[in-house]
Amino acid sequence: MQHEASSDEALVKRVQTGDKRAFDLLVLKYQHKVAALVSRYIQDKQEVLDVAQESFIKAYRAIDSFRGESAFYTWLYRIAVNTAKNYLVSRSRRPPASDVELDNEDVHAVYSELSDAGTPDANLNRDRLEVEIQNAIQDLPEELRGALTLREFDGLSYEDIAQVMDCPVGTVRSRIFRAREAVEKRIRPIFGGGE
Amino acid sequence: MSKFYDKHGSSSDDSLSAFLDNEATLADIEQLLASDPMHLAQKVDRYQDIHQALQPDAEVLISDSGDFLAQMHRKMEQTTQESNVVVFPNQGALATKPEKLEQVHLPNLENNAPHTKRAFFSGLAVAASVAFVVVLGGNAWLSDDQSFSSNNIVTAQTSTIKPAQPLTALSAEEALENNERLQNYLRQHAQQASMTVGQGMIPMAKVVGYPQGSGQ
Repeated sequence: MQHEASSDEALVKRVQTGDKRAFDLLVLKYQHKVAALVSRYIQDKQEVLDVAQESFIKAYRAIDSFRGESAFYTWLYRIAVNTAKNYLVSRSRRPPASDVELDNEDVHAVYSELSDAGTPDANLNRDRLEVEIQNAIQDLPEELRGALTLREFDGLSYEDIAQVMDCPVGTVRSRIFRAREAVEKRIRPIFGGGE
Repeated sequence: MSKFYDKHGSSSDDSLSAFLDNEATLADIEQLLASDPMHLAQKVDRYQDIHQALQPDAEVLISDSGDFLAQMHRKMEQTTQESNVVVFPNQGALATKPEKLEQVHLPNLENNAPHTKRAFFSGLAVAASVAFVVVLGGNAWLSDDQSFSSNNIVTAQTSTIKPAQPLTALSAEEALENNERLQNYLRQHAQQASMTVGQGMIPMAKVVGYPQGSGQ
């Protein structure tokens, strides 16, 4: 958690001094979470993406006013919620009566019913991708699979995983990275990438 | 260490993996800032696919992070350009700060005839009010004998100025003398003015006509 605060804080400070690449990193980190949050208010997938982008643009423009009194993602999520609500009002649609929870981890799980479910081809590719990823994970060595599962499925921090697996934090970090790379290598051909 | 990365990806990918897990160090941040954003975006998408496979309820809304980022940059540039255009009222656009003078759209006054007429008449009204106040103030000042003392104005002529008398009370000789003195004063004043002021007028200028044929 300390890493999260310090890395976000460092990036925000860089953005405040005019480093746009630092903001790109923050976008890459939080784009899925912000989109997931917005999708709780808005059903259409394209609209979700537009509002998520608008949220990041607003955050970028207001970044000088961010003083670090709260975590960056809390501030960002609040902007996203307000942007989504304003979007609904501008479209004469009623925003939800109660706010969604601004829980960082909770945003991972989105029970959205998006109108844009994708084309049959896209769904087929998605199914194939998921099967390939599941197979790749099953084929991982035990220590890599354990570390990845504890992180992705259970959402544990590296420190907690280190305690569970009784190994240094650095080893956990290395195992998770190696596991991801091994799986990514297996699914690369699906996206047309070479070895 | 390099052998490890040759086999398992680059060090920036390692940093990215930790970054997405909220476990990045400042050294990781430096590493990521020096990396190609599009490569990082592609990696983020693959890692997100893995995340989704382990979290079946998670919906992948952004399948192309690079495209998402590029679209956002385009929108940012677009809004920046729009906000830099300054248009004055009655032109129906935004009014914000310009970066260059060329970006300032001056108002078309010809199309604002009613507004211009209104401004003209209000200006006229203000001028009339000022003139009225000046005249009124001047009269009040001249009539206030208590506050006005001619001794405060010291000129060469003040000693010869006599108190004003009704014309009927003056004799013809006195009136002639007064008139001559006044003309003399006016001449001196005009000459002084013509020396000191460019637009000084020459008093009693006369257009002299010569008899035709004379001098030729």
